Amino acid sequence: MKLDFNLQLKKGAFSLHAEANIPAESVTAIIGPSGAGKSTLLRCLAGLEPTVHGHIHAGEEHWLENKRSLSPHFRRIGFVFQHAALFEHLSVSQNLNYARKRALDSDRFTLEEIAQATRIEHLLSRSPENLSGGERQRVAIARAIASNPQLLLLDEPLSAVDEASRFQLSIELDRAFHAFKIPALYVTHNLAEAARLSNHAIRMVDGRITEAGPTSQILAPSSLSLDELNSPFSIVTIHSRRDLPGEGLVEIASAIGPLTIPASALPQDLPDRLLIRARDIGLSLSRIDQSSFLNQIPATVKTLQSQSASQTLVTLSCQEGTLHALVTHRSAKHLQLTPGSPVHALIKSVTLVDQDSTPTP
Amino acid sequence: MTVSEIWIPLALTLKLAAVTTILLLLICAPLSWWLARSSSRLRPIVEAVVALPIVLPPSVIGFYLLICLAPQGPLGQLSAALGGPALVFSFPGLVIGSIIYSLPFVAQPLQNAFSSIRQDQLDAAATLGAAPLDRFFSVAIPLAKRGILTAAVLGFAHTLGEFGVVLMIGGSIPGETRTMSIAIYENVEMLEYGKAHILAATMLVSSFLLLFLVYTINRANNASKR
Repeated sequence: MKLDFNLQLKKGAFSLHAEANIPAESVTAIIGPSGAGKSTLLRCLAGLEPTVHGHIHAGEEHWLENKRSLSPHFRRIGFVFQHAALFEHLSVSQNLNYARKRALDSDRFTLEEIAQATRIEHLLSRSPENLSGGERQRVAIARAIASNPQLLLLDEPLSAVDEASRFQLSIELDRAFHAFKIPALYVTHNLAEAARLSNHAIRMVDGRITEAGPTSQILAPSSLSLDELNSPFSIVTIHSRRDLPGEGLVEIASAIGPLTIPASALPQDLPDRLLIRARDIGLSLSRIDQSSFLNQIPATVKTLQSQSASQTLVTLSCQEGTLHALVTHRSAKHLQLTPGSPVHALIKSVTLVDQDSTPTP
Repeated sequence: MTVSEIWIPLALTLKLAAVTTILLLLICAPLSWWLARSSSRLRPIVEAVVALPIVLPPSVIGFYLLICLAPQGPLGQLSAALGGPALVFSFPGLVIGSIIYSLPFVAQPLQNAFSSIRQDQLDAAATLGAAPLDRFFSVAIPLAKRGILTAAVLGFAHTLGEFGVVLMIGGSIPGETRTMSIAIYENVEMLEYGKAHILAATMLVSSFLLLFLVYTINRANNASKR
């Protein structure tokens, strides 16, 4: 479902003026600093801000046209709140049934399928107050999906979850996005999370949308602010995988060419994107055969950008992908790197989540 | 003293308290909901009016009620025009008086209970497809359950203890408007201290039992939640 909106809202000193076109079938990350209006935008789309005006066209439906607004209960959206907002007076399965009973479309998935995909089968008879933060969010996601939504809106669903469960939960979220194929808008602080879960991104600053486009473009180091650049990374699309069970490794075909990585770094069936931190990439002018590096990717230097007093961010193109490497000025000089130089990118490790860039909210 | 001398005023008092409490819950549910969630400029005015019976002496409430409910008064005329009963010195009149007298004791706990419901619970219900009335019954009412119980008990207990308003608009018709408090008062007036003792003790014990029951249920509810 294509989403097209232009919204104006004034709330005290804050004003929102957001306009965007979101392609059909996408998972869209909404990123930006705190107070940029990310959550407010989501609430406007859900119909939870009565004073908004402008328009929202969702597929063929008009959710908002000037001041004529379709009530939230007719919009068929699944909203996942930052603090889950489970109904405390109902059990987990009653929470799911609450959504299912009121669902307008025909059921696309059974409650069993949803509970299984979100891994909450063992929680069904429990009361929400006995659940951990991660479990509550999984139930909230399951409940949202149980209402047969045509669009999922997630307001920092992982921010109230402890650090240890966050990664696991983000994998499950990714799995849910894939399994249920529901377009989603996803507010997050965490760029790595945005990079892995989304294929489209919107950047907001001071209530305005300043950028929108494919995630790989919006999150490319060249378009990040200095704050965000603390720990740059590359997003690599995965085409296929082949497991080598004897060695505990997996061979993948990716946008930057073939890679061999530990199977433990890449859960089954997931993900279709990998992150490679810029500081985990070394550069060499030729292939080093006598080395422990499994992954040496031929690449061409595209740009060089000074990153700090000592470091240069080197952007490389390799096949149809892009890599970012962080090297010292001295090494860049020593290797005589200039745009067009052929190099090999030596990849030390890959990751699914950039633990270090996880901001404390 | 015969059993009916105790039972008739006791039954009347319980019936008055029960009818008043039920009607008050029905009136206060929407009223308190509005007070809890509206940002209207009218709200402070309505809140002040609702709280008035706490402050006013029962004789003031009784006096105005008497004027309104009298056959020439606006409510008395309305009732007569609709073919309804006489409102002064009658049970329906007592119910109206009790509703006004006990209104804040039901409206305020309900308002507190409704205000403490987190907005995200109602928002969640809305996004899951629940219409406003559905949200009220499926989310707000269950979440406010304890506040509703408190409101019902306070409304009931406060009506049991009503005296001044009943005296002003009810008179003392046995089985119709002669409640326990009136019966006790009259017995004392006539120096029938023995009868007054029995009636007063009955009120004391039954009120205690009522409150004890409520607190026991409350405790059991809390325990099962842990």
